[in-house]
Amino acid sequence: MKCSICKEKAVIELNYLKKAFCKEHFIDSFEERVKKHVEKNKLVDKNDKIVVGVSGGKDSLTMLYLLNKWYPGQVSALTVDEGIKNYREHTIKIVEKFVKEWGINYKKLSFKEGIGFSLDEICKKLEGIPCSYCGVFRRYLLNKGAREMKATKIAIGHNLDDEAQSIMMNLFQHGLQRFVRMGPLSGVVDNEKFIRRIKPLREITEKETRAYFFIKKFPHDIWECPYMQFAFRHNIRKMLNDYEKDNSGTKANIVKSYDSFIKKFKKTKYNIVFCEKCKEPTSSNICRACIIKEEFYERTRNKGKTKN
Amino acid sequence: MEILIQGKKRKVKNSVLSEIMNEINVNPEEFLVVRDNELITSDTKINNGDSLELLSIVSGG
Ligand SMILES: [Zn+2]
Ligand SMILES: [Zn+2]
Repeated sequence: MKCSICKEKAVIELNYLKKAFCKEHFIDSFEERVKKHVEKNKLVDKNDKIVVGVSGGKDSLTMLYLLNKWYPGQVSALTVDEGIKNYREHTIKIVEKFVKEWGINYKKLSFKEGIGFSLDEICKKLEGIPCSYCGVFRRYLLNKGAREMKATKIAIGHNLDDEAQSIMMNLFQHGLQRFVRMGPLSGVVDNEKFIRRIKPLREITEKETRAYFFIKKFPHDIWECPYMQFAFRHNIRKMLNDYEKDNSGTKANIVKSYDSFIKKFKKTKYNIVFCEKCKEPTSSNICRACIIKEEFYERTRNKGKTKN
Repeated sequence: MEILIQGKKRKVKNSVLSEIMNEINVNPEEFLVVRDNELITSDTKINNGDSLELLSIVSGG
């Protein structure tokens, strides 16, 4: 197979774009498409202070690398340590090495300090799916931490695969509240307590970030989150990839369909309210984080049945 | 012919990468393939004794 641009030997084929690239032109095309997405959707303003949520995975590190390259002096990194034993301590080391190497300002927050208990502790007490607790508190701490770092935007490493998965997950579960909040720039209302979230990699497939990471020789994480087996996302990903294999462009089309739909829908304005307990921005009277916290402490007080 | 996949010997009937992937039931949406430290495309001809490394596309979480 030949590169669509220079006719040299290709190293990657992108069926959904009907293109193949050599190493050099793949890197160019990848960066160009991310940049175009950022500019087209006006994700970054010259006065923005961007905090990049970094997990140590390929997506967040690639995004951190690119934003720092394009907007030097405007970018910092923020990591949330959920307290997942035999997993997070390894990926945090990758992050710390990476930010040091590129001279990026960095901060770490933990569930234990910021919420009061680790994800491992929550999962011993409560029966819900680990990822749903994790998501709630991670968003909560990212917003809070970014605000303390005086950020005007939070950058999240969601790629096209993640986005297609989230759309399908919300459809499958009738999660319409969450459904309407997705998109390249989320947070419908400007509010000083709620930092808007941007997704620079939203039009790039997961396969491409992996290839970019490999070609750039960035340090890939080999650790797998022990809670992954519980993730509903895991099944949706498998389903979409099985389908995409014989129908290139399906994932991209899901995201495109969503975008066309939401463009019309979002002309309606929403109000943000604040949690009665912790005063963080939310969409209901008491935020999800405080509800789960209450459940957790209730269990602790009652010494209720502990899950194994 | 016999090739190495992740360092393990494996007999395969086909010789084009896309066919081998199909044969060993690996979805190219979930794995990239590396030979001699370079990514290779699905039409690549694989030779007897080649060593292939599968790179998982999915991150740990
Ligand atoms: Zn080329
Ligand atoms: Zn609250």
